[in-house]
Amino acid sequence: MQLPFSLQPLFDFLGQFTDGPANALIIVIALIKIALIVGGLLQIIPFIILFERKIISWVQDRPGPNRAGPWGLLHGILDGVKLFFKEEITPKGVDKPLYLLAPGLTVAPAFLALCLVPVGPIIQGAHLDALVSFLRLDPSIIGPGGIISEIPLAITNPNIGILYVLAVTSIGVYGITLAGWSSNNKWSLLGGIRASAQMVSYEITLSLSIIGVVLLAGSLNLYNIIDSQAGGFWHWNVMAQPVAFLLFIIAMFAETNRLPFDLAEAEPELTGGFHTEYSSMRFALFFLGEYINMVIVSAMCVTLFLGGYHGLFPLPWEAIATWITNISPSFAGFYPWVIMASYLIGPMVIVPAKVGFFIFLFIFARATLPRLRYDQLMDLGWKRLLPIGLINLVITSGIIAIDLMVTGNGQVELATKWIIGAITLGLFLAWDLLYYSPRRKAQLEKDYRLYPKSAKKGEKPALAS
Amino acid sequence: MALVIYYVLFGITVLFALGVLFNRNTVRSAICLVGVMAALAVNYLIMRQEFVAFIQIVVYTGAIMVLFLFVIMLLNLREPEVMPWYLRKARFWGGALSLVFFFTLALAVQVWTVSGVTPGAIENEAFIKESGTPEVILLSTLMITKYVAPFILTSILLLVAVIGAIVMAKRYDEDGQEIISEEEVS
Repeated sequence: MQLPFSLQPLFDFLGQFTDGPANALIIVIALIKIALIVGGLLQIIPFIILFERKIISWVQDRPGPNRAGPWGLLHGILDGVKLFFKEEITPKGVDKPLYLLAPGLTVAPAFLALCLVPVGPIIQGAHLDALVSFLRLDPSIIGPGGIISEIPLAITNPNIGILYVLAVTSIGVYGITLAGWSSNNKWSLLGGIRASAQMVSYEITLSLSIIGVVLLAGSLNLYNIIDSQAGGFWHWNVMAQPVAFLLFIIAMFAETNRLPFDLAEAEPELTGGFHTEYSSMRFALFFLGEYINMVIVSAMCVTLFLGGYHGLFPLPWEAIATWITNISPSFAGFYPWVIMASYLIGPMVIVPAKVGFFIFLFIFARATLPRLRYDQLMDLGWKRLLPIGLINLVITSGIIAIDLMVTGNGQVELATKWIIGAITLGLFLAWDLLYYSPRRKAQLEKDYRLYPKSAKKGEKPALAS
Repeated sequence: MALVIYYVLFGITVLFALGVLFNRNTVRSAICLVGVMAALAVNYLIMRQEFVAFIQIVVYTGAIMVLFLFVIMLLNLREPEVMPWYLRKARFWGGALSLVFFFTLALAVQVWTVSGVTPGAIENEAFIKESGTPEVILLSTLMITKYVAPFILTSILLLVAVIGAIVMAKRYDEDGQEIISEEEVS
């Protein structure tokens, strides 16, 4: 199976401007991936917003948006159009350069982090060969022995992977902080200060929960981390690092400034927080940045803990393809299509499903949980999550070190992963159920007692004055 | 091409550094410092030191400068009304010190030409390519074998600084007793 014409002359032509056709091909592949991933996400975000409004209305038992289009499908897009045509107001007294810079500083890091999200496996070997012969390209440039010997289905794949994501998302704080400061408004400034303190505190928890996963994979590269989880859901890192998984989810909510941690824009207290003075597309950029950040942290959680693009069960695709071609002679041409399907099932089905689950979690938490008080937030971050993360890390690294010393093959065994998971989860649950929760409950009862102590159980007490 | 990028980046770094010095507004000055840190990280990237570059961003732009900004915003800094004694001749001594620093640096640059590609860097790169180990592993191996003593000493220093900050932040009454706020008691 081949295209009726070769694409090679096109790259030969482009290669005149870029030091050879191989560079032209690299640039074209990168542009295609950027268009698909970034463009695809931008198209989906209005629907995520609609999904959010629908779920909240479902929780609150009301119809929700249903005016524009069937099931209100056009609401998200029309919202975008509305924001485009609104008047752009720059209040007097703002620090103009920083006021204009802030929305960009929120969105740009979010897009930069998007480059690393691995939506599908690396195409290499015989499969790449098939693709090259389909497009009729020169195998010395692209192919198993060529200059481009593999195509990862992520925009880029640097060796330091997860460190890049941490670095880039840590820049996102500036957008919110500067927006708060430059607006020249008390409430905005309070929102900005809250956001910077909160995000810096929870970044520590986030990094601590990631280190365990990096130790298990022995690499910072996201594809290596995913490969260490290949082979069914019992290999996933969530089995080895359940406590870190919980920490990551909590820190993820705090990092994206979503409820129950959205103190930076707490409406009842700060009228809108850091984006009070922003309108039109500048406000929309903050909005967009928040949703892209949600998708990215969800994708990172999926990559680190839930096996990335791997399904629940490993499927032997080559055997399935052979089996299908053997059913009847008329199916003989289906082999490459089945293989192609095996590559597309990651980006088309598995990753969206897993990320969608976390988006649902974000929305459901917003619909059901009350906002934390600021001192409670700091308490949780520094006095609970940080020690838990440290202890989890010490236990994990200790067991991994013993495992590596015993086997000496540089890889963590499956049984060891389960032992780590069982010990850390057991210790966490024992601490929480036997020590922390009873004391906390007694404390809360003491703090928020409505009735006088003399009231006995069962009898209706008089309210304390 | 690489040379052009290098000079453009050099220009940006110097511009940001000048911004730090000449901005009267402390927040803008701090933002310029963030720019300097980010530009330095890109400099490391051009020298093919990915790990150092992103650690630079995580530590300096992502953590330290955020805390700087946080403190500046909390304090609401203004021009001091009375100059403290140690700042009376600040311009003279600052200028003299920076001149000394500049010539020392120029001498160092003269000795170890920083052109992006030194013989050592080429050798290093060849070694990394040959051994096939990511630089993270090489770096961490060095850190916990050859440089383990400085590494531990630095961490102890940081720990001492943290404990010192906590001790200084505690409040005491006239008898030297520690004042515990209501919140901590409950």
